Amino acid sequence: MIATLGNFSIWLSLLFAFTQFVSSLQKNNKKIIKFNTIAAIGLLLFSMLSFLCLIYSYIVSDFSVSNVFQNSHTTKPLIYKISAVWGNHEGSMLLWILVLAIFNFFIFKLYNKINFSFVTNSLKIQAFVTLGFLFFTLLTSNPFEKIFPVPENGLGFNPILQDPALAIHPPLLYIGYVGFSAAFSFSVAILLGKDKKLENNILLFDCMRPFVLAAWTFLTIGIAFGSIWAYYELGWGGWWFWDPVENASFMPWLLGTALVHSLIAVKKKKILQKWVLLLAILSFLLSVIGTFLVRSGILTSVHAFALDPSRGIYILAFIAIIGTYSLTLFFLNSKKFSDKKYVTFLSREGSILINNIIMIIVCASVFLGTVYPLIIESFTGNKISVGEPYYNSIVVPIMIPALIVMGVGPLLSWNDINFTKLLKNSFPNFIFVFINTTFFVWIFGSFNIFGLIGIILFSWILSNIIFTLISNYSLIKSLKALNKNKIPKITNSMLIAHVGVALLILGVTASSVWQKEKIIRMKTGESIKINNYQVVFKELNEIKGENYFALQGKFLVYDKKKLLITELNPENRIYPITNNSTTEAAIHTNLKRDLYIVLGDGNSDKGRVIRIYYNPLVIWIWIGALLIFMGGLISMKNNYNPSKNSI
Amino acid sequence: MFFTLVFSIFFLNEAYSVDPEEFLQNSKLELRARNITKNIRCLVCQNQSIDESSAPLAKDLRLLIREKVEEGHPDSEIYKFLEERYGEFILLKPSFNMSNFALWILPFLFLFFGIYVIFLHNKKSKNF
Repeated sequence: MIATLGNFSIWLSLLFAFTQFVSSLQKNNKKIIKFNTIAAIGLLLFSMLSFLCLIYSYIVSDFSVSNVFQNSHTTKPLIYKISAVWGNHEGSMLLWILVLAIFNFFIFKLYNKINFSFVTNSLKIQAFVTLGFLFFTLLTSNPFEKIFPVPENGLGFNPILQDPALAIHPPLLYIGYVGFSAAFSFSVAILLGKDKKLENNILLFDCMRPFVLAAWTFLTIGIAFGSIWAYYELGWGGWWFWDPVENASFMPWLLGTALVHSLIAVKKKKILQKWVLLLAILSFLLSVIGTFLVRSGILTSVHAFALDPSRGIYILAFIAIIGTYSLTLFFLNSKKFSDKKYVTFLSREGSILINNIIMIIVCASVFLGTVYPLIIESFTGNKISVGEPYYNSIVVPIMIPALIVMGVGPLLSWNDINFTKLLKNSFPNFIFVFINTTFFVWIFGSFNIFGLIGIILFSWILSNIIFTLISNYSLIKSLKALNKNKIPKITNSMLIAHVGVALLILGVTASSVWQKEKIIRMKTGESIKINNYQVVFKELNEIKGENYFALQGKFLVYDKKKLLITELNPENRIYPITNNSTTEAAIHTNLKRDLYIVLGDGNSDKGRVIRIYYNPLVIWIWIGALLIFMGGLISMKNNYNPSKNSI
Repeated sequence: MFFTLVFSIFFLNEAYSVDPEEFLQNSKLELRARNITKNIRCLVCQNQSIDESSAPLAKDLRLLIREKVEEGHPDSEIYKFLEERYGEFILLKPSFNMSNFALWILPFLFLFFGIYVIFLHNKKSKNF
């Protein structure tokens, strides 16, 4: 019953999306407004209803729905019954459509007297994209498909997905991917616009900003949750593996980063409009290509939960259509947006431009690495692998100049600045960087070139922010209005996000360069030393969880003074329903380091293989990501202005 | 009763993930061997190195690599041996050869092109 209602709601959503598309093609403004109001609200309500229906079917374990049967089980805890809705291909498409409808609604809310044709065009494109995904869902991946006879119980689902971080990872990521659809629609709408006046067009670019910020911000935190999950679930103390699916989310993130910053340049200096239009189109195309790579199962990867060629072909065709249309439009109509303004290196806009280009180079390289095995295989039949070592040797060196420029960016003004003045302004930074770097290298007690570079970058970004803040503050105090144009204002959002990046670099560097590892065989009662900590393997217990059995180790950790710090309980779990096993690492975190224990194989005679990691400063990776997220949120709030004088 | 049964079925068999007994006594050689195993793909897993894998084949390869390192073969020879025996797919870091030329060169071309674009923009702007 509820499932039928859900299915019906998808069809109604299709109807509303179609109405919006057709209505936006009309000439009569009054009619457009009337129909688009109904369509935008209807699409939102019914896509939400269908999504809620699916959630309901999961909660009550309605196994007459094939999707529920395949991905759920009565023994599953409630929270994971709900997260199972988007933990599979069909259900996640419904979420994807809901997010499209939400963004569609916010675009609709922008309607006012001056931007009428622009918003209408945006809604038209957004409706087209939504239609594409609705048809995709209905034709190839309907989550409400029935099965008969109704099975007694479900097949359960992949237990490594039964996890809090992974429960919210997909929704966050989807807000990111789908958010770029709004940027895409705006970009195409601007290209379709007839208004030649630059001033009016700048206002349109302002509309794009909160949407791009939303997409980028949520993509950031979505990726961070995926990494946190990988960190404690995969059991190797690592958090980024250059898996093709990770790359699929990283590529739009890189372009999103470029886009977010370019939009600032558009607002402040009225430059880079053409550039922004292209970036917006590419970000969304890459998001969809990412979906294609994941869903088609074309890449062998842990995330490939759908292996159905018809889906791949559909998405590929969809990418071809929207890609050809938008890029052709761009090459035909973008000329009027090219600016011939003066851009020098030593200016805020110069630093943004340089960073943009580096982000695109990194994105192109990651793309190359991800699809290269596919290309080689289809041309020569040879199978090759492009793994972590490739990306580390290509991407990391290219990123370094971007981070140097990022550090100096806030120090620069929107106009030209001369080099000696910059050097003079940077002088305190050099001292700070020197002291800070010496301090950290001294703490870790070992020299490593990558460690050194990472710490210098961290100090550089941080010191620039601190000193710019100080100079801003003293200037405000003394010469309030006089120097207004000389020293750029630093917004809180930018400050927070950039400090986040600095801390992220610190965490990434320290945890990858100064990680310590012990792999040993231990019997209960034995102990081992790792970096001033004494770890005692106390006992091994058999426990029973809600839908799994586990072997649980009890480890006691003592510090140098023999004081008990913590008890750690890593587990080896077996989920008998699907016959899957997982390892659950036990982690003790503080601001200085993570202690990370994994229980391996073995038996009571020989002892068990235990892996212990001492991971310095890992928590700063997550704090950094959180700060970037917060900076994004603040900026989003400051930039969203729905029409107050709506029509 | 059922409880013990489950444990005896699932937990008593020895798996094949990294085991300290595999390690070489000589820490310098061990470091080299470990590094090689991190760059070799587990052929039966999904996107994992043999260092992380618990598949029997991965264990065999780990032992094989350590044997070779102990016998005094240089890294390049070991990589080459593995590539000849199992195909290029086994190398997580693709080798620099004719068909992988673009993979290694293009990022640098992107970089030069990017620098060129920046300079071009700068020059054009100044003339304006």
